[in-house]
Amino acid sequence: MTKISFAILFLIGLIVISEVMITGNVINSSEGFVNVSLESSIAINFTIDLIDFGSGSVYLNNSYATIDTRGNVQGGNWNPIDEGFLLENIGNTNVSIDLSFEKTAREYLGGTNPGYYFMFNNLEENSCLDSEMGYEEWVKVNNSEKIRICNDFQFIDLNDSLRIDLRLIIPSDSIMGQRTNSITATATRMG
Amino acid sequence: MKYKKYIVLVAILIILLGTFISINNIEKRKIEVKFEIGEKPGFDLDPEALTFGRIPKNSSATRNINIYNEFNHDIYIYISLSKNLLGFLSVSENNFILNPQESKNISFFINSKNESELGVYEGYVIIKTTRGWLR
Repeated sequence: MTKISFAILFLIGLIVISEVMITGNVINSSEGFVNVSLESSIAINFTIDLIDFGSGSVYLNNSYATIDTRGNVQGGNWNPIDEGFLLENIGNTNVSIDLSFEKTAREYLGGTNPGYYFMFNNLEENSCLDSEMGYEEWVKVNNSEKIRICNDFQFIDLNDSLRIDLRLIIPSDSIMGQRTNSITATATRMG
Repeated sequence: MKYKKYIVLVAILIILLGTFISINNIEKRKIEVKFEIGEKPGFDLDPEALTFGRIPKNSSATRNINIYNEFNHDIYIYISLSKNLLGFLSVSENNFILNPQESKNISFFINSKNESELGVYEGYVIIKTTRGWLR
């Protein structure tokens, strides 16, 4: 009984001492330190499922159909959708924004001369104050490399939302079935 | 008399082992974690906390932490996550040695599933550092 009591006391002592002595402060600071720093960027990866083009097909007498998230459907029977996806700066610092796309048009849609484009715009005015790209201009997705869309994305409420739209050119001989693609938006803190 | 011997012995052992552990535990850093599962993506780059902003369902977010060993000896890094984040948060590497003056980028991933509930999630990660030989 006594030995058990001592063993318990011993273990409790160990736990108490080790926890009390390690409070989160640097103990051996005279020897050096361990520097833990958070990097200034974050990448969010999401799928095109967020924008549901639904099912459809290219009309028989057309070689391709064009659909986008601005409500346009030409040469096919997809239901028009008028909803791009939004990016919001909900933090407390201005950031730059890069987009990258998992698949090119050929990988995503297949067929003869497919097309895959995106466009960005300020959903709330002055959200992006500096961009080397044109606003409301379709940009072709050629590869999976990052594309800088905004150098200065504001965080101030009422000026912190961007809209991204997509346009697909779907050939009549494109890959059949449900297609998915993913987009990565990377934000990097400024300064 | 017999009890006194035990008490003295145990006290000495406790002190010795406690001291041994304490001098070899260099640091324990707690970093707050926060993210939201919502409908539209949003960014939050808090420089002091591991914030991931807002991610939709079936999405992921990645943020890196750099760990630099300025000591002149090896250090051992162990990262633990708060229990409420275990289904969402993962780390690229854990239980590793950093050589003197060596740094390493560690990625933290948040993954949301289709069945994940919308809302704000908060927790923490602890980065515990000990001398390299105390593994």
